[in-house]
Amino acid sequence: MIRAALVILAVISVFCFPYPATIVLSFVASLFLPATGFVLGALVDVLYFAPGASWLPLATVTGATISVVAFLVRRLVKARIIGG
Amino acid sequence: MKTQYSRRTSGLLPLAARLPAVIVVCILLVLLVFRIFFPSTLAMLAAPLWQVGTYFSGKAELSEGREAVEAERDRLRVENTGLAAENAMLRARLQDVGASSEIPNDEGVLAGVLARPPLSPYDTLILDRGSTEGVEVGAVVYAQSAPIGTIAEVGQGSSRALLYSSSGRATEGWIGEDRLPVTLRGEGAGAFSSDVPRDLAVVEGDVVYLPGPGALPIGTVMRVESHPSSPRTVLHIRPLVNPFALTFVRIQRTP
Repeated sequence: MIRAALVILAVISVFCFPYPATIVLSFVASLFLPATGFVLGALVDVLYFAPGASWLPLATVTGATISVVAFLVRRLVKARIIGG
Repeated sequence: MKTQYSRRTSGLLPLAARLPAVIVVCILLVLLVFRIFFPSTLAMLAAPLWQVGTYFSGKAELSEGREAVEAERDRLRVENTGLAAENAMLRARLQDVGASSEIPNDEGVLAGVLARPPLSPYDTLILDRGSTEGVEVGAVVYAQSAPIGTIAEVGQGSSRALLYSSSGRATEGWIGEDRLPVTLRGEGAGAFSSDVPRDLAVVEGDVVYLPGPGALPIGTVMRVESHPSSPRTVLHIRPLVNPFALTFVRIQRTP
């Protein structure tokens, strides 16, 4: 339930909140569902990227980075819990 | 005899990770198809959500008590800045009235702003007018008669404008009454910076212009940053128009 609510909030933030809030929310959501950051980054680029704005899709790259970091954090936390 | 079973799974991903991976790839493909083939449809679908965001950010500004007084003060400050900007603009217009008979405020397509910074991380505006209304790539976008950017992409019913202040974007302009030529570098969020020789007589408050029909003011020098050991001076320029508060813009119709 919390997982779904966080993902939905992160998606809404793309349309309603300033982008720093989207970054924070997508990171939190990625801790539960690692692909969220990457998909939201792609969504931001699809909505807001314009030719000439940047030489690479920064939002997708940021989203992918968030996903990787969240995935590593998640694995670390899991390993700690199992390791006791 | 014991039978040996291999514990290795076939394929690149473990079975449990395949379904999420397929879902992610499908979502990305759908987004890509929408972006390439139906850019206007995507803007149309997202428009109600953007309007909800605009509505709530507008509501948040109307708080009571002390906050209301502070908000009023801020509003008056902004209004004052706007009036000063308008004054500077009118003064510049008066000087350049002979340069051209074209006045950008009198023509063009009026477009509503669906999304603006800081919602958009690239300093882009999503506008609700597209090729159907005659909007073309490269057309100049004006807000309160000041040029703020150009159209970068056009769909059937929507378009994307890239602001001059977009991070890293270089635009040629002038500074001050002497019209000293400078290259303006976008810093994001409407701001600019420029690197000029130190002996250039630029002071805080000087108006910055872009070439257009005459000289069109776009901002004022907010801070002049120089170091005794450096032959260059960095100018920090504040825009005349706040891109965070844009609701309508005018798009110049290309002849």
